[in-house]
Amino acid sequence: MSLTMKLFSITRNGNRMLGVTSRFMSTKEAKDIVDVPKGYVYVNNKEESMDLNDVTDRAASTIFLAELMRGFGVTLAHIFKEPATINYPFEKGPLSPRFRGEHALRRYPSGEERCIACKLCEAICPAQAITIEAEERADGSRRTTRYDIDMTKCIYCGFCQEACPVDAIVEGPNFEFSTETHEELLYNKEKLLSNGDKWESEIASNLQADHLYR
Amino acid sequence: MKFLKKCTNFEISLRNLRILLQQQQRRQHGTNQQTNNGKSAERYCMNLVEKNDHENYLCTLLLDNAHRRHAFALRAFNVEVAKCSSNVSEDHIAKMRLKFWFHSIEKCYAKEKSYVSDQPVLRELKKTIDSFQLNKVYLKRLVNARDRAPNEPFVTIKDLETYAEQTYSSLLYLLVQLTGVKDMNVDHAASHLGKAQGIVTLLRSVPYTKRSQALNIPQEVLIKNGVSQERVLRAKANDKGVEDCIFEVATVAHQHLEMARNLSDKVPKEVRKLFLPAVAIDRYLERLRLANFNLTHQSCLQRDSMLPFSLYMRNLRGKF
Repeated sequence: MSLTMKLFSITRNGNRMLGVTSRFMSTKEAKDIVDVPKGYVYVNNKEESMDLNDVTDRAASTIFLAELMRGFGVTLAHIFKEPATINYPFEKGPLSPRFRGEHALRRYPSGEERCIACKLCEAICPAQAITIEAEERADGSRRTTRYDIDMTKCIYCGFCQEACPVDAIVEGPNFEFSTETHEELLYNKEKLLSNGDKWESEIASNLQADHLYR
Repeated sequence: MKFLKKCTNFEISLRNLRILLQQQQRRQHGTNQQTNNGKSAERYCMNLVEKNDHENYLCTLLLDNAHRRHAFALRAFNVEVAKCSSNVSEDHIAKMRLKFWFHSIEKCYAKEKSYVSDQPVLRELKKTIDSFQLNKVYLKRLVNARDRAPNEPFVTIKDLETYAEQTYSSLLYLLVQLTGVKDMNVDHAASHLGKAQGIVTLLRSVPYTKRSQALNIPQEVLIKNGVSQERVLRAKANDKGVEDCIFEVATVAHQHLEMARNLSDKVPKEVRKLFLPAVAIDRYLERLRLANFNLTHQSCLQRDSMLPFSLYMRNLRGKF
């Protein structure tokens, strides 16, 4: 790695370094362009000798040799350099645990659905993308008969996840759910539950905490 | 190289297989949920407390068989309520969630069936309520006390104590009601212990909640020591003013802890088990003192590995 860096810096600063050598090669010392008062140091470009001999030497070194070598140097250094890109569908970039992607409905470890149709997510949704229909069953339990999310309306604000008192609806880490038709993005309850089954381990590990902070 | 590739391929296919198996198991669980309903709710409550409130989980494990399950139900309910205002970007969302739990308490006391039987924590809570006659006021106070905006600071130490009393002491009163003991001294000790626990919890949260909510150190203390909130959040080493502020708050917690422990002779033996969180508080305050009241010191941030042992020893000696 350090060798690659050295190669890069040599090629980048080549002009200055080669300039030094060409100055040694020239027969006459370069001069300051203006008169410098005593006590001051002149730091700008120096006036170089314009003899035909010197001019030709300088031109040859910059045009032909130095530039070519520097070009080769850059190419060589790039061979050893780590690529800036990743091989996307096979390699994925890091994702924050708070990432808000595709929605999922979770289950309890026992397999029951978490959602108890309190409709807080429907109420809070600023895009009104969630539609819930629920009915009371004979045994008093309450479950959704319909839980639809229009993924094309959703603005991925994460309010539904924050509002859910039982952590049922979550926005999981999946961001690769593009489809060919609009209809495929109108998610129903089965799709959301199967998402939950598929991503449960990732979702659960993103929700961990060790200590109550309030 | 080829061998390595083969290995990774094998690993991936193994993982896929495991995921497939898990999905199948979940589906199977769904069909026979009625049979293991009670057991799974109990497990769920335990896991919830273990993940979110590890120290109190250890304390609750040491209770008698008769009370453990019900104590976990109450602690799990407390976890659910306390989680409401964390990870919420708008105040009114936290309010909505708290309202849900508030209504759920009524539902747990009601005779007719409702969604309570679908949520494991509420199911366990209802079971506890049915068998122990818990005071509804304390349960409601547990929820209502949490209903304060995250950016609302504590003005005086008294405010901090009141909040701690309403949240942590209420929970302790409820736990005491499980044993059926009715005694002034027990309530007195629970009140002091709850205050100590609440203050220590708020103090411990400072390094974690710095971005999301107001500073938990009362403004009165900050003004007295001439320290800005910013200085506390920056948490530079050897900042005298900040150390003094934290020392002052920690002292209040320690005084309450001492007062609770002074009453320990008058507390019946079966109740002392419920007051075991005192050990965790004591150990944290000691670590804080050794770290020179620096909240972000490594020893204050790490999990206490000797806590289970010392809890067990304390419990064996019948003290708290």
